[in-house]
Amino acid sequence: MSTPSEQPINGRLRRPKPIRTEPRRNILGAFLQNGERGADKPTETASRQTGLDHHPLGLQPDAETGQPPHLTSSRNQEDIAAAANVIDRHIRDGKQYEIPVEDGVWGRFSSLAGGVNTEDLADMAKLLTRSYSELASVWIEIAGKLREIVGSGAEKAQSASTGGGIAHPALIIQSAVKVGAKVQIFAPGVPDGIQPLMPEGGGTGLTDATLNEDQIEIFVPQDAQQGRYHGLILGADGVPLGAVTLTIPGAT
Amino acid sequence: MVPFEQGGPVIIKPKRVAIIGGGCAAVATAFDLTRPERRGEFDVTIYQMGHRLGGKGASGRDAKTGRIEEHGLHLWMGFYENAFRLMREAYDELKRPEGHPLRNWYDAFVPDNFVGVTEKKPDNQWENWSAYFPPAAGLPGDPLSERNPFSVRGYLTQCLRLLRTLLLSVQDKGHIPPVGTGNEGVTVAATSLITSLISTVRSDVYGSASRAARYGQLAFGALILEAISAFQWITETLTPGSDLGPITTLLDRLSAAIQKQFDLLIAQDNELRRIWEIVDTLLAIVRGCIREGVLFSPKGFDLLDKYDWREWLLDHGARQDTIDSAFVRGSYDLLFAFEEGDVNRPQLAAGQALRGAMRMFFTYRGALFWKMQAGMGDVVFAPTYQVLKNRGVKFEFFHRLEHIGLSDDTSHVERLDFTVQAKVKGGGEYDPLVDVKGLECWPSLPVYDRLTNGAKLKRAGWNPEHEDASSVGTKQLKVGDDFDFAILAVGFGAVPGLCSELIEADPAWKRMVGSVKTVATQAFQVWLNEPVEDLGWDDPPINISGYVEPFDTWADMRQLIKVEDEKPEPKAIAYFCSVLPDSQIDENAYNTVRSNVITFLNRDVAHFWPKSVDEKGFRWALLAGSEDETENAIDSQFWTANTSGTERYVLSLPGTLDTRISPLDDRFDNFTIAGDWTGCGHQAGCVEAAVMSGLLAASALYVKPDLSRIVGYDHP
Ligand SMILES: Cc1cc2nc3c(=O)[nH]c(=O)nc-3n(C[C@H](O)[C@H](O)[C@H](O)COP(=O)(O)OP(=O)(O)OC[C@H]3O[C@@H](n4cnc5c(N)ncnc54)[C@H](O)[C@@H]3O)c2cc1C
Repeated sequence: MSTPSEQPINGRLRRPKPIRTEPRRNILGAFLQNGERGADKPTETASRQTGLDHHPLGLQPDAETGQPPHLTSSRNQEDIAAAANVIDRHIRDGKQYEIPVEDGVWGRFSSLAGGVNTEDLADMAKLLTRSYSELASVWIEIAGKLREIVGSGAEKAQSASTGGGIAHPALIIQSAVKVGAKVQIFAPGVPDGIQPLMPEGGGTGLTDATLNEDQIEIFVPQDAQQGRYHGLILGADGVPLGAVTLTIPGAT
Repeated sequence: MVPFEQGGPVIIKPKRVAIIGGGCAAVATAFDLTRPERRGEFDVTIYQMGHRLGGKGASGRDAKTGRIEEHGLHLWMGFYENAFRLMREAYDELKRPEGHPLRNWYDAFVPDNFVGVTEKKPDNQWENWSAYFPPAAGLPGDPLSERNPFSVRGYLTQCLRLLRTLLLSVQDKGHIPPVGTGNEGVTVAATSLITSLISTVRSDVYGSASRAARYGQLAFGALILEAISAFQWITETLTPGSDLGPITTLLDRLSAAIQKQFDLLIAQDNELRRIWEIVDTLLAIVRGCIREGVLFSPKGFDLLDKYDWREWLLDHGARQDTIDSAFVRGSYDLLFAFEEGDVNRPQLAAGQALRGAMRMFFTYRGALFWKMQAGMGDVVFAPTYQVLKNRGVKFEFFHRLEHIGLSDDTSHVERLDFTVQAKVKGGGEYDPLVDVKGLECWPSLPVYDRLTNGAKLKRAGWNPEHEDASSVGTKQLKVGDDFDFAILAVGFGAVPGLCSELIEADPAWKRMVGSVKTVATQAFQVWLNEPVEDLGWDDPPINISGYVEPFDTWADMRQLIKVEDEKPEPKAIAYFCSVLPDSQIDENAYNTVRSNVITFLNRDVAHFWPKSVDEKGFRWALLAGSEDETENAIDSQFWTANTSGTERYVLSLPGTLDTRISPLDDRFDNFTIAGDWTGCGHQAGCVEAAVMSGLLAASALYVKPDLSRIVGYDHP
């Protein structure tokens, strides 16, 4: 049961040679992310989700140029794309330091303890990478959006505008009084619900606001007070994707 | 084990391990080496100076009153997975009888959900902010298969929980109208959007179902601000050549308007300001991590250890108010992170600060803090001592290491030179524990009558922990004859003095000793005749930091009254501690701390206990156990100046953490190290780091170490 390194040398023992002497800080390794061993080969969808084989933000590169895809419809977007590339590079650099499945540490402990299996861990890694991509994507997307708004002046901000490729629900308003309304979408995602619209300055909100398929329906009661109302458009898990602003002008 | 032939069957001889020191790290090493499943592979002896285990975590009992006297205030955090696992295993193995005051680990550690910080308001008044951290699923030390907090889902869930709790504490203070910004349409639009978002966040008309969304809204408002600065960063750093002047000017205006809006809200609402400070910290973290590519770096957060935590936050856009906030300053107090003890020189490595904060806030199980129900010696070191003893570990108390000698070729440790401080009466092993109300405890001073010449030592008040304590002889241990492996588990401050040959032989040792720094600490405890509520404290029992020097931290320790033996019982117990500046360290340091205590009680404590002072200062008659009504009553209380090398607290200074040697490093082939100062994966002076280091030191002696069982070692 002893190895050569433990044999007495000149009558004394010495330490076994260490397998490693430092922690593995790489997050993909810690979560057992690995494409070659252990975990299943990523499917097309899975690899798009992790962003490891494709663009980190989950988008396909331009077929001709192989460049990162356009993230917004704004004209001057090189800088936005460059930011996306930074994120991309971080994830790709990280991938170089992945750790073989059987050495991943948190996972190994978990599986020893009879809990999480390798697949779960690979999923967690995917989730991590995806969350990071999504975070970065929202971040860059909003930056792009703002640039678009700012770059083209105030009027544009007032209009219902969306970034390229972002789902943009139609707005149907049932109202006895004249109202103005706009939808602003700030983040990619599939709208899943809408919040009641609350008036600026407090007061009774417009509670009859629903999202059906791609359509936002708002009912404005006759006695609704004048003013500006805002409600969030929510994605799955309650993540805000955008806002609806509805204005009930005062009597003229 | 070493098999060797003796003309017949193979005899297995245990490997002899000498561990020097008896703090958390040493105990964890011994505990791991002697696990029953190792079947006696290691024969362990612990050599400990003085009469007790514990080191910086040691506590003792006063012989007359049974009062607990600590080296310093100790709280355990809910993320101490390895330390709690050790304690749980120890209590399980001990099988204490029914009726024992601390029968199970959960009798010994009790969740504490309230944490406070004290902060200075602009008008120079101090204000307390206490936050309730909701209990988190599971218990520290549970197997990770049960609700593993180290998963992305775990982090996210806990992060949301925490934000939710913080946001819940925001009361609806009414709507504040947007600031008029003149002519810029976009600015007005964005400003009013944010204002209305915040106002929506604050109106709780739809009950819990829509709450989650509303927390998102506050974050959403913040996200817009974030996006502006992200955009500015992109335009500034990635395309320096292009002419973006007009856009950035507009952005600046937009950003300023929104910031003004936030500032207005924040200025009017303390709760919101605090939350904003936390959100601002989180945003700076996210921003910094994205900019520097931390998350996917092979070095993880270590990448940031070259920066100071506050400077790093500032570099990544945190506001000055945020980095001066109690929330951020609290992390410095927690880790005594002041170079040379000078509170004007806060220094804390950013990567470790971030790792520590993430582990602390997002991976705690049960409660954020756990409070011991007796002294740390009674709760931690007495039961572990008993378990180790039952397993056959030998203890050589009163053995102070003086020097480690290397072989001529410097490949290994050849000898260990000790001073023997006292001899045990009648030979044999010293029995170190005493009984206080049915609980096994360490006494503050040796049990003199168990020592040769005990009466004389007692009369002289001999204290073997004092550096100049007299001794009775020397002992040399030789490799091969007395030990096979040696593990040095003393405090870092003692290392340079003991390891001159190692430092001389190995540049990595030289580098570490040259860069790792420590700080002295001071602590005091008072027993009061009146409950703190009668003295004007209105909140629940608390641990609060961030207050004024000389003592920035106070913990309410009323839970100890029942395990002490003072008659009549005091009504309150309070512990205070802080750094002790190097400039105050000389042979009179103990008296200096005494004056610091008197000053603090006269001048500063009124903030917590307004009715403890009158026009002359502190009401000394409040101190239990003294008839004196002058400041000399303080002599009936307890204080300490932790100034000797091994007692000093190890600092996590920027630019030094990568010089720490790991217990796994094989620099001398029969020797390793253990302690909170080693490269143990969590580079901060705390119980968890010491235990992790101990587990690594034990692993260094295993042929096939399983490092995955050391929870958090491979944390980014
Ligand atoms: C005032 C204070 C408050 C603290 N509060 C907390 C807290 O709330 N929570 C937390 O987690 N951590 C806290 N810590 C940190 C914690 O106490 C340490 O991180 C931990 O105890 C270190 O354990 P260790 O085994 O590495 O070293 P030590 O505890 O220093 O143990 C070293 C051991 O070596 C022995 N020794 C030294 N020299 C010799 C020699 N020459 N020969 C023989 N033996 C020797 C010592 O007596 C001691 O037993 C605090 C520290 C201080 C100083």
